[in-house]
Amino acid sequence: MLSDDERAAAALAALGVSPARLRRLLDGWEPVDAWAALQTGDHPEDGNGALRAAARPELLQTVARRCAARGLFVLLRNGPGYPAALAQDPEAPAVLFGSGRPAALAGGPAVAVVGTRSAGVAGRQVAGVIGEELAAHGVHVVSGLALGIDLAAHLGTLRATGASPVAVLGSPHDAFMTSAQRRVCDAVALRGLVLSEQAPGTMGARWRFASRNRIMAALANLVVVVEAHESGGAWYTVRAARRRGVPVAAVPGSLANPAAAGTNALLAAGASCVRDGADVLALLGLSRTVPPARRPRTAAVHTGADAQAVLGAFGGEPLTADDLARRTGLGFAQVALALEQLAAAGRVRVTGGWWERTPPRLRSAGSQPSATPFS
Amino acid sequence: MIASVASATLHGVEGRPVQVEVHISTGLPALTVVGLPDTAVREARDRVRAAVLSAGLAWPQNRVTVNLAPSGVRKNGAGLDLPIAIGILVANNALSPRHVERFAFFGELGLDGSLRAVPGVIPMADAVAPGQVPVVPHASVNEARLAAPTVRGARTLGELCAALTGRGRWPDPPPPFQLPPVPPADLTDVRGQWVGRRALEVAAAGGHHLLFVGPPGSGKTMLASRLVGLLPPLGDEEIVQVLRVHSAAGAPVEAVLAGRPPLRAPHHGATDVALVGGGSSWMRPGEVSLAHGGVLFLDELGEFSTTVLDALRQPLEEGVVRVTRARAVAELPARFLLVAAMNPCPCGEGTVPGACRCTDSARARYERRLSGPLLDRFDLSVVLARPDAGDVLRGAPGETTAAVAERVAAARAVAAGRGVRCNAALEPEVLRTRAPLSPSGTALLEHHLATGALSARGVHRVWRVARTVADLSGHDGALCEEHVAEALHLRSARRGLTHSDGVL
Repeated sequence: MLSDDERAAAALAALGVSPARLRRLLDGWEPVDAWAALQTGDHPEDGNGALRAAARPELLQTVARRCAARGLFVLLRNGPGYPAALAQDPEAPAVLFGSGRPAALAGGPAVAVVGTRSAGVAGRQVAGVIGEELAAHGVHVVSGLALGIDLAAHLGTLRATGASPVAVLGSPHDAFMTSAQRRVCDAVALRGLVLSEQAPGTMGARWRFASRNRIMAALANLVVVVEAHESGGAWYTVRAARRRGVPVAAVPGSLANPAAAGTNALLAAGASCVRDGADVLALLGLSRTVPPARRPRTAAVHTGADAQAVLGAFGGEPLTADDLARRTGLGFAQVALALEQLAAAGRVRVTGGWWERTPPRLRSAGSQPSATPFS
Repeated sequence: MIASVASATLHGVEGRPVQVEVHISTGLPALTVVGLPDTAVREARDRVRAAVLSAGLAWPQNRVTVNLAPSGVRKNGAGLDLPIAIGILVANNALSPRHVERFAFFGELGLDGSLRAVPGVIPMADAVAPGQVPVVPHASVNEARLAAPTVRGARTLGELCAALTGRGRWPDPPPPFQLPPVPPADLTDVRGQWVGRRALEVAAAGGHHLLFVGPPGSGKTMLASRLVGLLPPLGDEEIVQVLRVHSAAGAPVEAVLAGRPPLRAPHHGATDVALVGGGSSWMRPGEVSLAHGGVLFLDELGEFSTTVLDALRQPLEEGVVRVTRARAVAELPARFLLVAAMNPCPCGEGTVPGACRCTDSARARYERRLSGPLLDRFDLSVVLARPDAGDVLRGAPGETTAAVAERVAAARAVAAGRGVRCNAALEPEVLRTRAPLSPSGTALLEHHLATGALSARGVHRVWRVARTVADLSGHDGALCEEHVAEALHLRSARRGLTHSDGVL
């Protein structure tokens, strides 16, 4: 059950105003008083009465019911349970909706692992490995549950036992998510904490995702960018981190990979270079105590001269079978067979017809089952 | 006075005989048409009157009633103009009944008395009673001859009346069809694109439906338009079926006569009725029927509406379209090779890892538009990339259509030995007995089954394609690892590709 203050704060958040305006609405007011003042038209922040029209009395019950349906709790900026790292932030959200354990962030440093949604195999693997190692060493991994890097990082933390993961959503808790996101979101809530500054039932908006990144930057002691384009959402996190003096680290990538252009640019501008969990731990002043997880290897698959030639034709970029046939001079049938053998041995991976070489340091077990079997 | 003239109307791709009865009685001058006419038939009144007067013939100054029997069948199109005019002339004593009793009339009239071609002459000429000779507009004579041994044609109503009464002679038939030259689109123009070319060859040889996934400018349309050239020419029986469909839809029939499989490429704005056929009265064949025996190419598959795409599933499964309306049911042939092209996501760059800039929800929405059951019909789905600049500028010309078509014909002959039209029609039991797998081929399929990359149904699809691949290379033993590997690659566009990015 929500207290009266929490209900009033949730209803104010459900008005859908910007984070800054919500802060002003609650600044110096008890939430119950702010809500009451809005109803009577006495709130100075609502000069033209637009919010008074929107703040229908039944909103209190509606929001409370939506929170109860999702098992959400409400955190107030100066109330108990509100993340300490966030409370002093100048842009801190006035109200947070959470699911999971409110105390999940206590103890241990936090690292935001962020990157592009359209990440390559290599980027997702690095993100997963970093997430797993950080969690195993008691570091909270903060991420946004977006597809690509964010999701891969949290999947990594879920493989380890250690510090609890924290997700900050750019949409309300009950907004649309793909099935993969929903599964990870539920798993993170079970082990740690999922936060959103938007009330359930409100409309999402694109700018909310960029705005959410300031929360991740404020929560983190370090921001790690795994793969990023030259522009994109990850840059909001980087800029928010710089404003707050939070150090930024980046994972290097191939020059041929468009999704690594942003991280390489960060490195050129002086960001710390990280290659795996140990590098990130070193930046935090920790050292690796748990050996990296060993992955089962598939039985050796016979790979002939064709397979070696195909493997040698890869640069750092994704290729089609056409490209590989041109580079190796082999026929399509030979390239197809070679790729099958290499895929079975875990040396290459395919995403929608584009082949990538698995990074040698991070090579995982054979062909992992993909999300949806192609039938 | 009363008169009766034979004609026919079109229903789907079938002709239905119609008897046009005309009665002239005392009363105020008027013309009434009864017997379920559609708008075009009802409008015939004005055309017929003008044409008769333009031909210098008398128009009855009495009450005229036209009945189209049987009155329970809906009549459509302007093809009944001519029999109505002839009937009125007979009832008005301008012609004698014995002048017209051996003939059946089809044609639209112009206000100046000229005779205009109408669609569906072949099925309508098929429907006339034996012993009756079809009389058609001069422009339709060649088409009608494909259905009836003797056909008469005339250019104008006046010329026709003269010929019927014996005052003039029938005009000479038009010169036979000039078969159009072979289409210029040849596979040799395609530089590079080995995967795309190979997919076309396998699709043609095995009758496998094919999906191209690639960004704009990757040559999807160029490749797809060259598929018809690879298909074997239509057989005699198929030509008859295809001719009827084309005639019924008013499409040109010349290319069909040459045995060339049709290629239909409807725009993505097409409605479901335009695609599968129908309409309230006529039951016009849709694009799937016009593609019967040939190729249906759907460019920008993701832009078609979902109802249109779901309407495709039944014809894909059964090879016929059953169009059912409150008043009528029609069965239209629709066995075609489906070739589709689509962008991987709204921005078009989606398959290249790291290149797509679409939002998650936009991608998810795009993928949801294509139902799983429809995508499941594609045995082949390949990714095309924009061609390499070196290939386009300096690459050697590819193999010609003729060379590939030869291999396709040989592979089809092998498939026919298994008792099926093509390998795509092989049932799982037949696959097991007539297209066995070698131990290495089995191992590769089992590996993909075990990792969840392949469903049980997917296994059979890969198996069939592998058989076609082996047939094309002249291999007649058990299917080896390399055949299965190539078959797997020819459907790799969907492998590991979901909006969840394949992370789980």
